[in-house]
Amino acid sequence: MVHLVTSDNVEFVVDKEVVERSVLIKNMLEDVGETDQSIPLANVSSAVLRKVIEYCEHHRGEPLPSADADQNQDETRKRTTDISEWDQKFITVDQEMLFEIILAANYLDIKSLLDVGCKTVANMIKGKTPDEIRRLFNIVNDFTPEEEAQIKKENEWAEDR
Amino acid sequence: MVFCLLMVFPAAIIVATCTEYVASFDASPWINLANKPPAGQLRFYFSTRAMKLANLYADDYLAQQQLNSTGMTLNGALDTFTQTTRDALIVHGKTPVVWEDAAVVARRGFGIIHAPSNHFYLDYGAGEGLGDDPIGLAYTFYSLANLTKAQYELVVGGEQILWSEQSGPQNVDLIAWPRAASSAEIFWSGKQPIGAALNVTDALPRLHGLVMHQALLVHEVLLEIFAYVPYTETPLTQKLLSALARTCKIFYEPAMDLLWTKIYGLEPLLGCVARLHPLIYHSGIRLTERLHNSGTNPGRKVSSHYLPMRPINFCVTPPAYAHWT
Repeated sequence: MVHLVTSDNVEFVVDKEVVERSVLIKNMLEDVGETDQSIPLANVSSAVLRKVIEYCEHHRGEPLPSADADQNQDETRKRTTDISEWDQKFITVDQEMLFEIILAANYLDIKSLLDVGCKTVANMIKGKTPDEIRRLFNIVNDFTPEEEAQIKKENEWAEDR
Repeated sequence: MVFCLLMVFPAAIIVATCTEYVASFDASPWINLANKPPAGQLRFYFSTRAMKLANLYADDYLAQQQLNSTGMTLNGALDTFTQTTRDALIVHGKTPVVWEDAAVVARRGFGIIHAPSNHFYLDYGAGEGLGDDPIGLAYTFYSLANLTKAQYELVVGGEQILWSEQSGPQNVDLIAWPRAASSAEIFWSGKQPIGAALNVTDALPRLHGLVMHQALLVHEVLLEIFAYVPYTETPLTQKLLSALARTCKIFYEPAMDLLWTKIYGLEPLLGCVARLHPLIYHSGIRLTERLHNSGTNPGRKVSSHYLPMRPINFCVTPPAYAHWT
């Protein structure tokens, strides 16, 4: 069992097999060896870690992408934005939690979870205009109208087809 | 009603110009004389409540001299002072305000402006005082608690308090937000529409909803998200990537990289040359004629403009632009 402590000081005790879906923690455990010491995760809150562990529990035992296969993996896994039914249900959360999960997956290095999160965001922006994207994510437009027009001009071949 | 109030310790300000009005300024150890450093108090004083006043004035020669000469006790002198200042305020149409327990104020039928230190002090919560979750604590405050229905209308509003010796232009925004917004919500709505108390779990998404999530500031995350864009809707991929590039500055670079990784033919490149732009997009002339008539060497200009910035893969077949073969 591995002990994890979150940013809000909650301790989780998790199966090694489950927690090792995080490449960050897997490497950490390999470096440290067997230990009862808890691992502090200063960037992850308990609410988010609970979700992350739920995901890792469900996918335990599935093959992890190996480092040298990364290149090929990249090609095949990006070919689709389809999300499995369970993952779809799992990632149906409010926007705040969605981005928190993405940040945690990026930090903990859990490739498949990062994929699920990023696919979901990609599906959300599908077919939207810059204005709609800004409204969706509360983004402030920091371009001047001239700058924005310039980019539009540069990309004209992509814009009006 | 919500008050946003920045309080200033008068003694620390006034001592700079009028030393004689301030008792025991900067005396040490300050902890015996004041709640926060530096010690010092006006020789008679605006508020009616100060915990360590007696100690402070006991050590102050001028204050003691005045008390002895008039035969007054400290409390007597304070009463006189308070009454005088209060009357002066009322004459000018102002309302004097005192620090007092809310229940006591309500019993006496005066209006209440809440400022509970155990929920709202902005000084607290920067690592101590209000624990790990100061926003959560703010949300548990209920402004009508312990009041009878008849007393509800006495509640005028509430204030988040920030003492100026712990803040300045450098950190005031970080300290004030988002807690100031949370207390605004509490004093505006008091409780949820269904009557239950407010809670932070419900409120956080709303507060976070005011700003872009920090995940979108992480370059790797953006690349990861944008990389899926081509598989959402192939024919419109380029339009969406261009839209992303125009959304905000932080999106520009990763979106442009992906958009310009795969281009078909020279047209997009030539269109970037300001002089050629109208020819490429608005003339209706075929590309070969344009090149022939332009009289410049656009290839050179294009390569110096673009090649150092991002690698380009030319595709032999231009599926999307069949009109130009």
